[in-house]
Amino acid sequence: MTDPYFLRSLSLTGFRAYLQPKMFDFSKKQCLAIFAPNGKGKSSVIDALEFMLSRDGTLERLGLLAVNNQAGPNALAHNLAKDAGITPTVEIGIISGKNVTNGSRMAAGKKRPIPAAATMINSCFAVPPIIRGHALRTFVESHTPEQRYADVAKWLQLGPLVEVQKNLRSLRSQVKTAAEDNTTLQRIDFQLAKETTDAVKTWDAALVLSHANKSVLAPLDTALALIALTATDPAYVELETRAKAEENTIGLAGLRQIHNAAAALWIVTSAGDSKDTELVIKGAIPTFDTAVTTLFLAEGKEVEERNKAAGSVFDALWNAAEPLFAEGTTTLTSCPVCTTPIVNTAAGSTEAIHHHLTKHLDDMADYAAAKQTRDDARTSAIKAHTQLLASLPGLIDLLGDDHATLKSDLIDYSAGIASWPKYVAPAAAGIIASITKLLTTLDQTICNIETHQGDHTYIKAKAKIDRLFALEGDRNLALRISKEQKKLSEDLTTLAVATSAEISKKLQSLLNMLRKPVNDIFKVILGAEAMSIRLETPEESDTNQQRLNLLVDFATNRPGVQPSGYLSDSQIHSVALALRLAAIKQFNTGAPIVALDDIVTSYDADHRRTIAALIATMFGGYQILITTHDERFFNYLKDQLEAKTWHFTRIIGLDPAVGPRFADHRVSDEMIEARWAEGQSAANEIRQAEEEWLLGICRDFGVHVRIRPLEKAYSYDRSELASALGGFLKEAELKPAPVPGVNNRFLTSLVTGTIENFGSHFQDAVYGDRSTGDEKTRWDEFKTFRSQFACNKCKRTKFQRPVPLTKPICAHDGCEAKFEFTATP
Amino acid sequence: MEVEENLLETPDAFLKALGENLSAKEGVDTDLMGILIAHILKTKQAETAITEAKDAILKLAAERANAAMVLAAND
Repeated sequence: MTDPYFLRSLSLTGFRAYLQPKMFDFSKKQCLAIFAPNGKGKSSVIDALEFMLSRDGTLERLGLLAVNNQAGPNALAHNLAKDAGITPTVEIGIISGKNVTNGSRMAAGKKRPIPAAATMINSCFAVPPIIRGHALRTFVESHTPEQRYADVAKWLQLGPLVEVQKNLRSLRSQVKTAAEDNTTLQRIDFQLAKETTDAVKTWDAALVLSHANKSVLAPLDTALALIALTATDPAYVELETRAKAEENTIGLAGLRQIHNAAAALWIVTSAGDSKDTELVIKGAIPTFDTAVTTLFLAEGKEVEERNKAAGSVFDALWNAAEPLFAEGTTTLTSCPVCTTPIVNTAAGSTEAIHHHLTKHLDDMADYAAAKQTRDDARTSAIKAHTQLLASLPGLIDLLGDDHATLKSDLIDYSAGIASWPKYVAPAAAGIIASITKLLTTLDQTICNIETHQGDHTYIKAKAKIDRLFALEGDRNLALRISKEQKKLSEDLTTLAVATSAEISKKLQSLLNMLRKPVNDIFKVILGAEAMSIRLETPEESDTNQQRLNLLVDFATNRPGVQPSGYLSDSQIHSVALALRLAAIKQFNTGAPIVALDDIVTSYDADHRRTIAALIATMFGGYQILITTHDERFFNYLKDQLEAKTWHFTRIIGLDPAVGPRFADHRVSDEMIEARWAEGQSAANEIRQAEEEWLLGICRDFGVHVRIRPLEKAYSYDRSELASALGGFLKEAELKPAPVPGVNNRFLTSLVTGTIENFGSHFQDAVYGDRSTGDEKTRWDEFKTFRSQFACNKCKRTKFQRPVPLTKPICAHDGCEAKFEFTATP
Repeated sequence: MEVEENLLETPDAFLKALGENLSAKEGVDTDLMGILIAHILKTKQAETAITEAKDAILKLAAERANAAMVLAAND
């Protein structure tokens, strides 16, 4: 069996409150208790351990980094670490038997990989070893059964199993939804409605068959009828045969295609819808013929007008001269070309010259119009020529052997047309006659087919029947898939329920293992008032297995009730603490380590002492790290735990440039003075100093203390000690001198045994007005009183009282003077 | 002690054993169980584990339906 793992050392550098390196060495004393007021860096030690063990290199309470708030992993580093050039780091040393392993983890940067040492010890923690006081109450009070389930599952490392349960539920839901989805069948019905032109909107085999026979096959042959929608049906076999035969002949569509191609070349048709309207000739051939004729005439007219315009003597000059002789222009007196005076010209005046120009300008306008007409005609002829050349192959390619002569003629005609305008276009009369004859024949044939079977063909009918076959196939497959999906969905539910039940069973078994130790610990904390507590998973019939009920048997007539309704704050706290400690004790045997961060805030003095006792009695052999801001709890720990395995230390200040300052010694006068120097209350320190002195002097004097009840077996109240000391002094006839002052309740309590809680937040009554002045007065009075307990001979303050003696003697070997108070002056 | 050791087995080991036990049970759909083992009964599941498992189950349903159709056509 492998030796258990323990922490050997823990070092913090630039981490949280610790700027300069601080190492906690567990090699001599494996347990550590740190006392410090809040905000002095005690929890940083537990933080260091949590950080070192965390998977993501962070702390649970830091959360995620949010923009501008410097939270998340950024908060791991000491705020001055970067400026000081210190790399935030936590180091750990672990030991198993004699094997020591060290590891280091950077607490800055994006990558903060976990060292092997931490991974090694982590593998021994079935339950997280760190318990923080602030998180305990939440579990009992605020969490829903679902959250509690997740928490406990996480403690017990069942997080992945909870995830499995959650994913199984989600998968079951999604598969069930898919199995119940009718989208495919609805799509098939939509296609069926489209295919049957809404005659059949939802699949019905009889209706579909009827539609196929009546609307698809009957128009072709009333004798042709399917018995079933299957490819082996005799009617379908016959349909296939007829469709194949139809493919080998020119069908209606083919005839219409030839007709349209011929009509595109030449056709006589009505100008409007009425039969009385005038017949017109259309097509590429007449369009081309007309365009060629128009072009011929336009070219003749253009030549004629050009000759007229060319005969004019002004043909070359009119453009230049016209502005000079424009109407209203009178300034010109001689010809700008030959300088002949205007009056000497044939016209004799500018007006006469203008008239002459105007007449010839008209000749030029006629020529321009004729030229435009010729150009337009040429454009039209070219367009008609292109259209005709494009249309001719449309008919030529469609004509078969039945029309070989026409096809040949069209090819020749096409060649002649192609040679235009270089050569005269061939005459179209012969071609037109042939096309007319072709169109007449086609019209007759199409009419015959349409009269006989309309638009129906066997090929189309077969295609429609085939589409119905395909739809039926798709539908059958969809139904089959849906059936398989539903079966798988049911099987999945069965498996998921079985899996979830196994996980819950495992959890319940773990919980049962916890039940006794939890109740044992709970009873130690609460004593006789402790009631039985248990965690229960839901009944198997409950669909939501991811819940956990935390129940207490509050009374015989209140069994199995929710704790929050019946327990006090500290009891609730105790339930959670008992659960966590029991789980650690039960499951973390490979690394018996517990870290407790401020876990006694809810407790009164008696319970704090009980917690200390619990640690002493039930966690012997465990390595325990405790931080607390509760000095009384700290003292209880010191009083009850073995000094040889425990290191007790206190943080006495937080130096921003270094980090927390530690002091292991008792409260000194200087520590109290330092408090006041900083303007702070020293009430806690005074009380502590008083109690430390009281305990010491009682030990030295060997006072008699009453045997305590079982539940208070481990520590002494100051009142008990004060009473015992007072009684001892009285019996020994040792009377201390009165101390100046009138309100010294501490001294009075020594004599009377009255309980008094000076300056404590747990006090029953306040001392004075709790001002610093009161504290100083009180401290002076105490010191005056304490000063009387010194050896009259050597002035030392350590005493002993061997059994036969009734009075103590000086503990110094060379003195051993009997103790007496100095006589009152 | 043996019971405690079984209880303290890792989640991975627990899920593996659970998958094997369920697969071995009479009447369990082993194909379906195989899908659960491959995608769900794992401590480190992919983000798309549920989608992948669902797709695998629907694919299995389609394969079985097609096989049944072929069988019916051949009968």
